[in-house]
Amino acid sequence: MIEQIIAIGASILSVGLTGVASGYQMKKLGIISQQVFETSEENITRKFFTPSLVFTVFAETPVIYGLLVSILILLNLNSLTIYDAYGTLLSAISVGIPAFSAAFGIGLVSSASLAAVSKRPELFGKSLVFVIFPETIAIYGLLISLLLLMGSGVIGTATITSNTQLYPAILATVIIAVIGGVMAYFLGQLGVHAVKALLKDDKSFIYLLVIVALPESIAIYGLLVSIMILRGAGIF
Amino acid sequence: MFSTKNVLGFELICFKEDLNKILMALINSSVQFRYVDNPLLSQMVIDNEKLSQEKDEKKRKLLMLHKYFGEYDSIVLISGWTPKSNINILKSNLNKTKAPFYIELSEPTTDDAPIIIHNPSFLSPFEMLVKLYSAPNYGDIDPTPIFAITFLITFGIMFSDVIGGAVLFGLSLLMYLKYKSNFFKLGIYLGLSGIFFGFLFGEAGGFEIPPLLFRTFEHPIKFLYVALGFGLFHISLGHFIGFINKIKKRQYLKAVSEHISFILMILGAVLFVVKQSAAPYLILIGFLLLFIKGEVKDIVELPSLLGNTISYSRLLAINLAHIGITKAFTMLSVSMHGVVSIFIFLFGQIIMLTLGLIVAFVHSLRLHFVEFFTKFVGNGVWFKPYGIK
Repeated sequence: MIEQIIAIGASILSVGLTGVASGYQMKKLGIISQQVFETSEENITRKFFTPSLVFTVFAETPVIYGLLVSILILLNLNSLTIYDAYGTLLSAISVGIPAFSAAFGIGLVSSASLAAVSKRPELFGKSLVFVIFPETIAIYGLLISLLLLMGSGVIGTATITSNTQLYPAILATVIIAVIGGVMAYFLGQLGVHAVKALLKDDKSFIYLLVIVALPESIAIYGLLVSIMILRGAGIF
Repeated sequence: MFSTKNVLGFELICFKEDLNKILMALINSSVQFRYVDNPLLSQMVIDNEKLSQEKDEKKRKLLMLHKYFGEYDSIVLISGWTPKSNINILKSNLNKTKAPFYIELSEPTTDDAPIIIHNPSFLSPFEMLVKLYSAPNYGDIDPTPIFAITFLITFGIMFSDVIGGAVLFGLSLLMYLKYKSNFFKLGIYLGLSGIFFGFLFGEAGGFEIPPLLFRTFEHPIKFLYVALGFGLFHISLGHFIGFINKIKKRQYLKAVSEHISFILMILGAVLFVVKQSAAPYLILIGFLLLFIKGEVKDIVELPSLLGNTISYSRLLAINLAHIGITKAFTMLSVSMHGVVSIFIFLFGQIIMLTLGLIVAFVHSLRLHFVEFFTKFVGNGVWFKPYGIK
């Protein structure tokens, strides 16, 4: 009984955390788009529809990842051991926190990009690349989350069967949650400045890309360490 | 294809009184102007008084151009770039002005020549994407054909859905026949790629069909290795193109030290995984080669090789997210009855088609921009003809 309660709690946590953040950011982007629609002329409005839609959809992706983990947990509620239940909780945390933070990062860059695109529509493709960086962190969280779900028997057979596997799993979760959670927001802030620089001179794109990609590699190292811990503990 | 040497530099001398006629002829044959720097000539200045009096937008634009030119007494020197394919049009346009002029065309010798790439028209949507990034240096390889292939592979792996791909293909084809836009042409390719990888991994809109390769949800670890393997291949390909670019410029030592070293290390890492005894030697040789002519940035890039490779694990994560949620919607709709069932099925398909399309597309773009192009694309500039509306 307690196992099911933990698993349901995990599922609520994963979709709840990501949903709150994504919903808030989508609202913010929606308001910005409407303001642009109200103030701009007719011919810009038509060009502006696709960018506003795409940026808003991007703010939605974190909640989709949370939803995936949530659904996978709920589909396998029967025959959970207590270790499986803890595993689902860890997987919910490892997607929830990075995706929560990623939604805020995406919101930051997207609102800057919307402002830039409303002035110069041709910047859409380039600014979109900077929105990707915070979103990437949500994907890293999802990756660890999926590996943990494998360990807790939601996908494939359960491998977290004792404390020897549980403690490394907790460690891996903490690493990706902290590094992902911090880096996603930082990448969002960096992206805002990159889009501002792009607005001034779009020849600087390649340099901006390298500058933003460098701190992103910190998040990749976090991911790498998490994966290696899970691999070392025999979870996948 | 593959060549970026598609412009000629020109220098044109004419009289000041014919300047406007000559300029119109040049602009009509789409050239790009360049600042004249010749110690014998003085830089022409824009006549601000004339500019403020001029009401006609076209003539104002012509006046603004004057800052590019050099002048000596009543003679003006104009300098710039013209596409190689355009030379006959340029000459006939100039002859039509009936004004005396002298023009000299030459192969560019400096690196600052702008880049034009020519590809068959079926590659034009990919050319559009390559042009988002900064241009290759003059004389380097045009990466568009290779980009087209690998872009379709990464997109297909992330999207992999027969029904979604078919819908995307059908809609894009209809729209393309009506509007002839590059975006819809790209949609056709992306749809086909989605269908192909859908059959490979056995996914069709949440229903399972017999896979040609394996099902990603059942063998995630195998799939992770495939993704990372593709990443290693992709990065090596980038270094290989960089190697050829350096060889073409006769920088042999640099080519070996900056690119072959990385390829050797990647090869060593692969051999290490399949437990071959030669692996450590290859890695060591690669590492030592780095110090022959490598700059500090190459040595700093060493840990990012690891990061770049791990970055390809997103192929797994996005694929599983896309397939997982589509499956969940489809299972939900199968368990219901009547109109509700059909509604949920359609709703799930539409949501996942748009989301999957955008996410897979932009992440493929990111993999190419950050992981692939940084290995070889320089910082050239694209050819931009001067236009007057």
